[in-house]
Formats: sequence, C-alpha cells, structure tokens
Amino acid sequence: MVTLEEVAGLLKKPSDIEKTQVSRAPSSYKPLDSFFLKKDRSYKQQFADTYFLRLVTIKPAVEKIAAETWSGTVIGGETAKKVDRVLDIRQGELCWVSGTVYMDMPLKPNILEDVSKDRWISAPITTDRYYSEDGQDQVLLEDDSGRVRLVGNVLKSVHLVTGCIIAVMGTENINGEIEVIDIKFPDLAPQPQRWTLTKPPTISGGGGHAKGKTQAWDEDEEMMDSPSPLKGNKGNKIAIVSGLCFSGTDPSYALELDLLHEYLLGEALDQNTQREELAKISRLIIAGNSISTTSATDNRTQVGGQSNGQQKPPAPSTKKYGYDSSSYNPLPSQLLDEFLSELLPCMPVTLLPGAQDPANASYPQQPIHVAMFPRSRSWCAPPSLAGPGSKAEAGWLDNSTNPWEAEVDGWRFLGTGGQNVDDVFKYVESEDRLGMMEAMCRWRCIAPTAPDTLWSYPFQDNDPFVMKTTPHVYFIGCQPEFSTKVIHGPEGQVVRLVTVPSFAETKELVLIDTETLEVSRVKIATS
Amino acid sequence: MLIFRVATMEDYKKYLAERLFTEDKMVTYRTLSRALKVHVNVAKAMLYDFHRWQNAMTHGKVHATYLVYGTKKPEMQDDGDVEMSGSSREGNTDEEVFTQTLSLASQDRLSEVLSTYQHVTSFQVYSLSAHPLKQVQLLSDVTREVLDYSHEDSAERSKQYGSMFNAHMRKRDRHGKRPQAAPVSSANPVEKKAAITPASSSSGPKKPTEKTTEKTTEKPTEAAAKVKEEPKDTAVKEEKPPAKTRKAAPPTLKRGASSSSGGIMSAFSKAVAKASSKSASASSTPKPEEQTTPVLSDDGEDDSEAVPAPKKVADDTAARAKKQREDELRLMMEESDGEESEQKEEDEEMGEDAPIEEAPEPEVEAEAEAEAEAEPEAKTKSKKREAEPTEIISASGDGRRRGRRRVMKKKQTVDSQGYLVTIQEPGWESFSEDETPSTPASAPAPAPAPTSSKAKISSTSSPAGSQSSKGKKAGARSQGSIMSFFSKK
Repeated sequence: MVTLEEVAGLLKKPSDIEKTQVSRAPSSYKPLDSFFLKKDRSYKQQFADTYFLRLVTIKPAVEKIAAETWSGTVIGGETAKKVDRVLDIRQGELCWVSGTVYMDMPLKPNILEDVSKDRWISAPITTDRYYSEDGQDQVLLEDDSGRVRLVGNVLKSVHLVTGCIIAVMGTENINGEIEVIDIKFPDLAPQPQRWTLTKPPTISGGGGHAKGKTQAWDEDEEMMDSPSPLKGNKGNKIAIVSGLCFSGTDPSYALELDLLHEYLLGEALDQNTQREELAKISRLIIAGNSISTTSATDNRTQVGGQSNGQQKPPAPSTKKYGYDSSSYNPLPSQLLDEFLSELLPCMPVTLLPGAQDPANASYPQQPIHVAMFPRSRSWCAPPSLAGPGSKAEAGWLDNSTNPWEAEVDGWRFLGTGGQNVDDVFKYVESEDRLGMMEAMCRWRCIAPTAPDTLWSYPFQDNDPFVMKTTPHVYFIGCQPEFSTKVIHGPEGQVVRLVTVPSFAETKELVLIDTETLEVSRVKIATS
Repeated sequence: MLIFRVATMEDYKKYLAERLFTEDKMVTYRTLSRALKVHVNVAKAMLYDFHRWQNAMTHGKVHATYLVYGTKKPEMQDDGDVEMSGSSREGNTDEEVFTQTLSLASQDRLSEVLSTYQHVTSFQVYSLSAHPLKQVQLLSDVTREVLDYSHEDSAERSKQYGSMFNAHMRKRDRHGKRPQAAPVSSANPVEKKAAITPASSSSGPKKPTEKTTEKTTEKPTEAAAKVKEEPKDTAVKEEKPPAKTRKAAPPTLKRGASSSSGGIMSAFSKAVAKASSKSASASSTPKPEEQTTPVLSDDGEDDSEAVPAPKKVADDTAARAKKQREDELRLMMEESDGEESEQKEEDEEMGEDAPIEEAPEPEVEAEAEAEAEAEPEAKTKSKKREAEPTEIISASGDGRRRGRRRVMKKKQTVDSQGYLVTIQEPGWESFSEDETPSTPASAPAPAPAPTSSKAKISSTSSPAGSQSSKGKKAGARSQGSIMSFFSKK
C-alpha cells in the first residue's frame, strides 16, 4: 500500500533536476544466418527431402539414447533388439526402432484430400485444433522404408506431433501395430559455451568503449573456457516484445505503445530509474506481429489460427478482383517506422517478422523489406551482394528472419514469431505452451510440423529447423500470455524458455538479464 | 506551436498557461520538453511545479496525469486492469517473476492506483490539461507532436531532451547519391531557407522543394541550372541532376516562324525531346504562327497528323509531367491546326538554320545538329506536335506508305548498383502501312483526311466534334466533296 504522501517526495521542482546525459549499455550481438534463404531459391523440389534430412540428422542422436537405455533390456524373457528400419520389425519380437512421427488426424488438413476433391485455394482452411477427442487420431512412425502404426498407453503420456523424430520400443502385434512400451526423444542438443562467437566486453559496466564484434569462429580454446563473469550480479537487460500491432484503425492501445516507447527511449520515469533500469536495456527484440493488418479485432483473438490464413478481410461493399490498392492502409507500417526511427538512435533493435507482418507466409519468414521503413532503413545493414551469409556486421536495426538465432551478449538466443508453437499447439490437447517449447527442444526441432501443417520452404540441403545446438534462451513471440521456465538437459544444458505475450493484448514487455538470464517483465497500464 | 529558444525558469509558466488555458490543449512532459528545448526530466518538474502553483491559486484549475512505476502487490490484480487478471497465475511459471508495472493514472484515480502498489520507484507528472481527462488514450495524439522534432540529430537530441544516448549507434553509409549526412542537413532548416538565392548555379545553395513546381513556368531569362534538394526526410527522394533548363524556346520559335522554315521547328522539337529524355525540364510557351506550308505529299500526309501523340516521357517528377501535359494541351488548344512539316528541303535548311537560330544554347543545338546530320532525311514536326512521331515517307505508292518514323523506345539496363533503369530514347523504326494508318492508341484528334473516298466515309461517320479542329485546314487544302462540307457544319 503506497499512499500519495509517500510518493509526493519523488516529485521534484525544476531547480532540483540535474541534467545528465545517460548512456545506454552496450549490446554485443552476432546474428547467425541459420534461417536466411537464398535469393535465387527454387520452389520446384519436393518436401520429402526435408523429412529425410531431418531424420538423417536427428536419428543418430535418438538412437544413441535408445541404445543406452534399452540395450540389454529384458522384458518377459526376451531381450530387446535394435531394428534399423520399420519394415524390418518382426511380429512378436521385442525391438526398438526410430523414425519420424506422422499424426493421422481427421481434422488435420490433408493435401491429398485437397487434390482429390479438386480444391485449389491459396489460403489454407484454418482450424483451431487438429486434435479430436473421440480418439480417431492415429500415431504412425515412418522412415524411408515405410510406416507403422503405434499403439499403447505410453503415447498418451507424451506430446507427439508430425515431424518429430523419436525412438520406440515395443512389439508388433497381430494387427501389424507396434505396442509401444517406451518412447525416447533425442533430448537436448549440445549447448555452446557463452561467448562462443563473440568476445566478452573487456570493460564491464555501462560506459564501456565501443567493442569490436570480433568473431571467434576459429578454435580459440581459452575463449571457450572463459567463465561467465559476475555470476549472480545483475547485468544488462534485453527487452523482448511482440505483437506491437501498430494499427491504423484500433487506437485502444496507442497510449500504451507511447508509454512503451518512452520507457525504452529512457525519457519516462525519474532520473534514478532511468540510470538504474532504463539505461540497462541494451537491445530490443521485436518478436513478430509488429503491425496489424486486420481491421477487425476479432481476428486477433484466434491466436492459434493458422498463420497464413490471417488475411485482410474483404471489403464488404465493393468486391474487387485482384489487388485493391484502396484497401491498403499505410498507417500501420508508418507508425512502426516512426517508432523504430525514434528508438534506433539510442537502442539497437532486432526485428523478427510475424504472421501478420509483410513478409513471406511460409517458414522461415524472411526479413521484412527495408522499403517498409523509409525512416529507419538507414540503420539497417547495407544490402550486400554477397548475401546474408557474409561477414558483414549486422545492422543496428537488424531486420531478421523468423525464426532467428543470434549470440547476444554471449548467450545463444533463439526466437520465433510464434507460428511454430501455434501450430504444434493444434496437435495436442494441452494448453501448456512452455511444455511444447520444451518438447521442441527435446525433439531437437523447432518447427516439427513444417512442412506438414506449417507452411515451409522445401529444404533440400539442410533442415534449419533442426536444433543443432541448444540455445540458452528460447523465446516465442505473439503468445497469449507471459510464462517462463528453465529446463535442464542431460549434459548440463540449461535453457530459459519464455513465451512473450502480444503487447497489444497484455501490454507487457519482457526483460532478460544478460548475466543471470533471469526474466522480469514490465506491465504498462493506463487507467 | 510556439518555440522558445531559451527557456528560463519563468518562460515555461507562460508557455503552459497559453497552451492549457488559451489553446486548451494538453501538454505532456515530452511536448513541453520539445517546445522549450529542455531536458525531459526538467519538463516533468516544470509540469509538477506549474500544477502545484496553479492549483494553489485556484483549486482544480489544472488536471494532471501521473506515471507510476514500481512493483505491485501480488494479490491486488483485480481492479484497474481486468483483462490482465488471472493471466499471471495461469502461466505455469516455475518461479516468481519480478514484475514492474508502469501505470498512467489521472489525478482522480491516483490514490486508488497507488494503493495497488507495494513499492513505487518512480513517480512523475505525465501531462497537464485544463479539464479532467476522460479518455487517456487522447494523450497519444498529443505525443505525436513530438514526432515533428524527431529528425534532429540523435546526439544532440540526447543532450537536449535527455533521451538515452548510445555511443555505439551506427548508421549505414548511403553510398551514391546523397552526400549530405541526414542529421547535418536537417539540423538547421531555418538557416537553409535563408540561404536561398534566386538563380543559383549548379554548385550553389540548395533550393527548397516548393520551387520545384515553379520551375516549369519560369521565365526563359532565369534559365539556369538548378539543383534542388528536397528535405532529407522525404522518403522518396528524387535526385535531380544539374539539369540545364532550356528556356529559350519562344524566341527560337518566333524566329523560326519568321524564316518560315519547318526545319528550325524540327530542330527545336528534337532538342526538346532530347532534353526531356534527359530529365531536364524543358518548358516552353511558344506561340508559333500558323504555318501554311504547302503540302508536298499526297493525302496520306495529312493522316500523319492523326497519329497519336505518345506520352512525353522521362519526367522526373509527376508534378512536372502534369504541368507539361497541361502546357501541351494548352498549346494544342491555341492552334487549331498545325503546320505541315516540309520534306527534304526543309531538312537541308535545318542544317543551316539551326546553328544560327539556336546560338544561345550550344548544347541543345549541338545535339540537334548531330541528330539532323545523322538523319538527313528527318522530317520533324513543329513544337506543337513534338510529341507526335515524325515520319519519313520513302514510298507512298500502291496504296501503302513506307518509311521510317520516329518512336520512343524503351531500354532497360541494370546499373552498377543493381537497380533496373528504364530509359526511353528516341529511335527510328521503319513501317509500312495502309494509306490511312490506323490510330493505334486514341489520337487526340482522330480525324482522317477527307480526301480519299475511303476517308470520306469515315469522316462523315465520325462525330463532328472531332472534326472541328481540322475542318478549316482540310477545307483549305482540298475541295473535298459535298459530303465533307455537310459533315463539318
């Protein structure tokens, strides 16, 4: 209980104000270009390669765990054996096998069905849930040889979605199904040390000099061993916000956006707070849905809706074929541009596209084009002919991909705009989004449902959604509410999971401490 | 909005009183800070001081909103923010997350809001208004005023207004066209305006944008190369090369008319076409007399008039293009019918005339001459019909016209920076068509010659309006038939 008398002392007269310039904490930043697509990419190839690549990449890890766990296991006088391919399973033999999960769900959109019924629509039908309660859903395990149905009560204890790689132990029954006794996941991938790619700043504290973002790609041993300094001390903060939803039609949260802006600029609040808290925010990450293209507010409520289906509602009165330029409202992107251009002089920003942003619909979403930001574009990295994989320094405004991976202040950050979790969410009964994130980490795949139900680029050479390394911080934007959790891996990996809520709905900003990776949040309220 | 250069301690009271009571507007600490050029923290204190001072005199005269920042009590999440309640509990967070809340509260609800807090770390006046604020969201409109100051230099801004300063900030270097660094050019817009000189050389000071539209209507005497720089925050910035504006058109045309040679007209029109393709502003208000040169070719010649005028191309601003179109249209109205261009004789004349007539513009004339030499048979039209493709009829027997005509050709190249550049340049294309060439794209005056019987039919069937502009001439040239006589009335 705070009373007015207590806080009245915080109000100052003009004469009491000392004018000091507050300097913002530096941010060490090295984005990884894991999710950039080539400019001259081809879309002609088949999606099967993506599944094959994923299986090939993850299978050794899951087989290793399976072998450690199950080799020598004797059940009912029978020793479990490893089977290489699902078609090699003999009926009645206790064995284990690994493969890709395929969920056969009646409610799930099915491309074969669409083709057979001659449905050729560009936008997918958006169903909130693929999961059906009547138990019609079937779990199948497939590899490059074939497909086998999985049954058993164990399956109900874990979340499974299409595309994740698992190993199962069991016996084939008379129906040709595998009675699953146990399931193993690949579990967390190896986690890099802090400061693997970048060097820690030589001077700690806020006013350090400009630090070169040198890369330590080469085998720099002492770098790997450098202990994280000042463990336990409060470091700087990384601000993560998502769903700013700058809108041309809905002013209901415009003031909150202003307050957020002032908070990030460091103009709000009093001097001590500015110096102690606001100046510590060294970077802003915008995790998707920065602008709102929808004029109808009810469209926002279906957060779990298929990302690609959220399009402009057609104008009721006039129906125009093709693109109707009069329906375009430039105000949202203009507001975002103003927001960014005001903020950029004092803070670096990483911008991930989201489902509503003007980027490509399929995963991985490529950066929002800088032409959307006539004011802010001068902070972007110059367009390099060498492509995104070049050694050029990241832009001060890093308009990045979704998903996005980077080393921020030494920590490996992985973030998405939320579509991957939203899509996995449809497969399972649970509302536990953190649990899904954890499952993704343990599956080593951040978008298992791509390309089945999550639109995706048909990858040929590698599947970037496979988690080759475990991040330190894994955040998902545009979620209904804030939540966070720390998970631990078998090799001592520690991952901070954060669901970042949509600002337009919750008016919340997430702050991550750069030393302890502790999460705090700032709520903005108007009354 | 008033801008105070130096805000003394008492200035702000005057400013605030004016803003709040006279203009009846809301003031936030940010607008105050920008208006008086003071630090935001000082502005907050000023608001507080003013609020206290005014309300000490008259209670309730000024209404304030406050910004409260701190930690809320854990259980008190039910009032005030209904849509948030419960959400923090549901998320299966395995630890208590430190949550700070930033609340904006009007002064009526301040104690209520404060009572939900456990600890307040910061408390400030956010805004003042003369009336109680019913809709706090209205404040966001006020805040937008701050954007007017946003183009100022960031380092400067940080010092002056107290935005956070970031020493590591880097912008990308704009290679190529804009040498002026953005913050520098915008730092003192007022001084810029004062520095304008009327007729500047290409290296002279920049002219503001508002001159751009004037440019086309400038007097010929003012013809000089001008570099215009638009304000730096203009998103789509057109670079104008130091263009030589050719303004000496009227004298040239008059002299050309007096010498009664179509050749000089053609030279001029070529020059203009060239100039416009180079995105120089070629504006002219020529008043060429009606030329009654004899028609040397047969009926088909007249038809060439009906060939549509292609759009003038390569204008760098839409405004100028529009202006030019208007000019052309006006010219077309002024003269009901144009001169027929001469055949080869004229072109020979042109070779001699052009250097004399267009002496004041060596560049233009050089181009014209070069082109005239390159195309000795070039038969071009006068300025009035410069937009029409000019033609050379090499053969017009057996019911077909063959020859070459002048067209604008599009050329696309990729420049060094990877941009696609489309250039339209005049070129020649040979053609062979019927004597009454079809008008492919809606001629301004699609009236075929009423001499041939075929044309007669079409002329009678065509609306009278389209005929009217050509009637006089057609009558003068040939007797025509009685049908055409009737159709004209």
